[in-house]
Amino acid sequence: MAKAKNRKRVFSDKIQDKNKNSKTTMKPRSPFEVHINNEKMKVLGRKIQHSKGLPGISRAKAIDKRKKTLLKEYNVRNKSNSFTDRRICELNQNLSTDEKQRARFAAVRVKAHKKKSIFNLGEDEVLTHKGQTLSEIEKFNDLQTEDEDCDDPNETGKLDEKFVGEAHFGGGLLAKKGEGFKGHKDLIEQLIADSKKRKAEKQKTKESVLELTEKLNSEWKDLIPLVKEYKNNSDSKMEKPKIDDFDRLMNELKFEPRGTVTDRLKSEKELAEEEKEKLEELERQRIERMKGTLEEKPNKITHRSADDLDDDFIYEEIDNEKMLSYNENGVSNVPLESCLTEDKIEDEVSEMEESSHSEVETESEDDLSDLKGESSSSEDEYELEKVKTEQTNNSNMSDVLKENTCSKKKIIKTKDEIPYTFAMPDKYEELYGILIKYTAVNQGTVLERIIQCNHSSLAKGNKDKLGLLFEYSLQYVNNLASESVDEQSLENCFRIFEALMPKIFDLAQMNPNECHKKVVEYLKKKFDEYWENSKQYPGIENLLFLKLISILFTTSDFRHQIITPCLIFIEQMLLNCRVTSKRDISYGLFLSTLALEYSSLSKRFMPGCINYLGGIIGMAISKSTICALKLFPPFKSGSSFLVLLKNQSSNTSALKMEITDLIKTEMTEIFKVRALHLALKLVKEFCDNFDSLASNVEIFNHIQNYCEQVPKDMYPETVQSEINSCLQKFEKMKSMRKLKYLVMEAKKPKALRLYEPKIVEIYDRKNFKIQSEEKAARNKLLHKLKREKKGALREIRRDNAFLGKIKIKQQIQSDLERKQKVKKIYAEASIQQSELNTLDRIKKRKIK
Amino acid sequence: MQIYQNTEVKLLCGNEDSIFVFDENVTKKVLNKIWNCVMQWEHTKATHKQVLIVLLERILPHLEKPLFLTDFLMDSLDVGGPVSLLALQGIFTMIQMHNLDYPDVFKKLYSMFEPEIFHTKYKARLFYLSDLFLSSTHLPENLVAAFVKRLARLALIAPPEDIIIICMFIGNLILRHPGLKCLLNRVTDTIPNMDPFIMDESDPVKSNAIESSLWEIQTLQHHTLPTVSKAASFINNPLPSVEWDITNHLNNTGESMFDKEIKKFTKQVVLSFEKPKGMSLNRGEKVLQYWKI
Repeated sequence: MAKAKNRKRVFSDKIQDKNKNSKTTMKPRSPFEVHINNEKMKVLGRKIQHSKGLPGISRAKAIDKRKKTLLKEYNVRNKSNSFTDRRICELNQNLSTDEKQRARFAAVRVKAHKKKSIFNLGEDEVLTHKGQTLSEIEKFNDLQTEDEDCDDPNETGKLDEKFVGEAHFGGGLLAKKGEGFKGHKDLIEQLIADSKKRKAEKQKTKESVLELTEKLNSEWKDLIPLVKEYKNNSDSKMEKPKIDDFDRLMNELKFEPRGTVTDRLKSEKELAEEEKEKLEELERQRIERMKGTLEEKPNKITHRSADDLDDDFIYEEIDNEKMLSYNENGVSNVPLESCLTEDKIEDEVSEMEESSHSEVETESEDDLSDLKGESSSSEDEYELEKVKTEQTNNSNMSDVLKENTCSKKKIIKTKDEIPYTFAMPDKYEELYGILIKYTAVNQGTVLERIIQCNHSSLAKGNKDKLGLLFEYSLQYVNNLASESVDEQSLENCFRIFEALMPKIFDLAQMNPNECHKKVVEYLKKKFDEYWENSKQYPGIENLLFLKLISILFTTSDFRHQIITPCLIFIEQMLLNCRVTSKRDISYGLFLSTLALEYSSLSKRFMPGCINYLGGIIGMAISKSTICALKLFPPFKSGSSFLVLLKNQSSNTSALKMEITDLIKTEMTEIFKVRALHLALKLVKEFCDNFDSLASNVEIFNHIQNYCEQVPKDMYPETVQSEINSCLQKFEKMKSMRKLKYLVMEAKKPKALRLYEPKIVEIYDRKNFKIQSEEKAARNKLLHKLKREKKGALREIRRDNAFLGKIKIKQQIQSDLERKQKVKKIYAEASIQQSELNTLDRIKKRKIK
Repeated sequence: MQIYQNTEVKLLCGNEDSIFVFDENVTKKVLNKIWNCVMQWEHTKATHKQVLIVLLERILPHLEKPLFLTDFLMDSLDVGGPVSLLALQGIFTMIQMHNLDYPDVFKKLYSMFEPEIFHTKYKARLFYLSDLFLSSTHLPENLVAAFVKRLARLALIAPPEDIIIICMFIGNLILRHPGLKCLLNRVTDTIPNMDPFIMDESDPVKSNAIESSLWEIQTLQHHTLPTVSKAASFINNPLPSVEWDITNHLNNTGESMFDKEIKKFTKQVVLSFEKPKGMSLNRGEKVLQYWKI
């Protein structure tokens, strides 16, 4: 506090001193010189700039200025050139020669730093002494100059004093005419001869001196090696013992870079905590995205922890179930089938087939084209297609088989020695060549090593390369799946997929943008391929691809650029594709499982999937018992693929769907049981998911209807209990449901229109226009221009007045001069006349 | 088609020698006669369709008493499938131009809304026609309510592109008949556990729809697709003053929806953050749970 006060006081003292100084320097002005601008009204806080004016002084100043500039120009107005003295400081007489020199030097320096000469390298200003650079002088090799310096004044080549005295100041030719007079011509000749002689003498001495010095130099050079040798010897003798191990070590230690201070290493607990926090944050974001814009309720955020708990609960539950499934997993009673039939490769062939079956409908307003066609519900088109594809199948089958055997041959049996480094594959074929050699599990390690060897932190371009690697590995998985035509290769393919998946996940995490782009491209391609023949299930690679997407991306988002199209893809397949074979059933079931997986967190509703599961259950009902049973498309009402022919109640084989069902075509009884079992399980899961939906009963209404009609006695006990639990669930759903009538949100009452006072934040007596920044700047400039113009006009007017005054002054001056001259002439003329008159008078008198 | 051609050949170009003179009145008379006969024939499904197409496109304007067609059209309406839709179109023109009054037409239309329609080619036309039929504001409210409820029920199993159309359609119907707002806004204390609406009732008036509420639309707000969910959320906000234009959406297919979604540009790239174990997700893994791989 005291300090602050002190400082304040010091500051105020300073100001006072300043005021005092200014007062002392200022002359007291006469009050008649001062003009005071009267204020109309006083405004607090406004600074007034021109309260006082000194008109006389300022006018005098202006006139003075004009005299210096305008008048000078006026005086030389008719001259085409002018003489300007550009010598530095020569006009100022106050400066001493030393100061002038300094000023000149400064000017030179300034010139060197001007824009034009900054780039003149090597032309640094060179100091000279008597025309020679200092560096040259410092070499001391030019003896001549040295000699000249110390020469006598009479030997400088100038005429000597005596001669000058005689010739120039000795009274000239007239004074020396007496003794030994030489003519002018002789004199000159003598002079020339003298000076020549002197010069020759000087030359001679110089040459001799030069010769001597050169000789001395060469002798010195002869001596140099001797001197050096001696010096070297002494040096080496002195230095060798000096380099000591200890010293060296000491020096090393001395100059070693010292350790820099780093952050404290985090303890494991802290790291885990950080990780946990990060995951929680991500989870929170995911839930936000899941809700989308649909359920924006302000109170939701407070319940976040409850949501989290909920998720954890699901997490545990799944784990438990997985354990169970592993127990079941042990045995499989399904006989191996290895026969290839046309159906298995149907999808591939349909992909190869380029013929597009899509109809282009050009429907004008009312030409009834949709009704004119042979079949309204496009049921029969499919039959035609099927015939076509089967025809092509036969031709292509042999090719596919050949390819398959070839690829098998390439596989070298398990080698545990995997090299540790791999080059980044530049083409897809290279990656294929690298990977195909190893077993499924090892392929994962190989891919991991490729990634490690080319990690993005190792080199600059690696990030792009990893993006490419991601694309290739997608293609690899895709090709494996599309090429697998028998059970073994399919199983192998899934195993490879399992091994590669975590690595592909890593790749995606490394380069998310690129990966996103690639997946979008891929997805688009796949969908277009499918849409060419939208009534048939596409290849198995699509299943793998969809599974891969569910791992790579969060499926729970309300809207996601990849997941949403995927869901459309899945639903379109489930809604449009015909179910005619075992493969179709298992394909559809796989898709339904995927749909469940996609919506397991967001618990959203996909009608196509429920419809499909209903159809599957409906297919298990024998049609003889119920004529009225209707199956919704894409199922045909009469289809009964899953109706059991033999009683399977005693069959106790595992009821988990097998991946090979996607390929095998032979319809077995156990498969029928399995399919129904899975459908029921999925229905139950969906039931749980849709518990909170208002019309959940209506959604499952037809499925309940079917479940009641399934002949239970034919199925094993587990399936029976599954059906019963499903039915129970439906009943419970019906009884527990509470339908709240929809109520629209009450409209907010509209407020009356009130005219509120317009409140301006700062009232400054001026009205500030509300305008854009550019316009304001422009207006400001325009205003400035106006002011400047006004000022310039005034200046010009005053210039004119000044010039006018000068002109009139000159005119008056010249007039006066002329008058005087005239008067003078008149006076002279009258004098002359008077003289003439007097002379005349004298003459007359004389004559008289 | 063949039948038509034969009759034409006989009447118009009977003799090659005689010069054909077109007399409109005579031709019209003959045409009427022929078509009265044609109505009486028994048709197969294919010919029936053809007859209807020709009738609607060419013959109808030239008939003297088109109201005689009513019975034929009504019979065709019972056939089902595309034939009934054609008949429906015919009946619509009859009602519009010739002042036909046929009370059962709405019942017929009601019965045409079955789950199968979503897999037919003419679903767009059906929506278009039913929009026209139900455009009158003088229809009884319980009838329109039945349509609304039935459409909503169908939307529960419909493909996404159709759900959007249905949502708009329902919105339009409610806009036309402000009395139907009770489907969206009913303030009572009762909480039933069953929907009062009877889906299996064939008579729309008896379906008790006006007592119900549009829970289906509420359910559809949880559809997997954001566009559908958005379309269904119209019930949350106050209704607009102008109807939705469904004609733009009638030709939507799964492909167009897919294209729209995939082209939707988002800057945000969202990857999942939990590393998978093998090919199984950490949460919500279902494929491995149900499939032996």
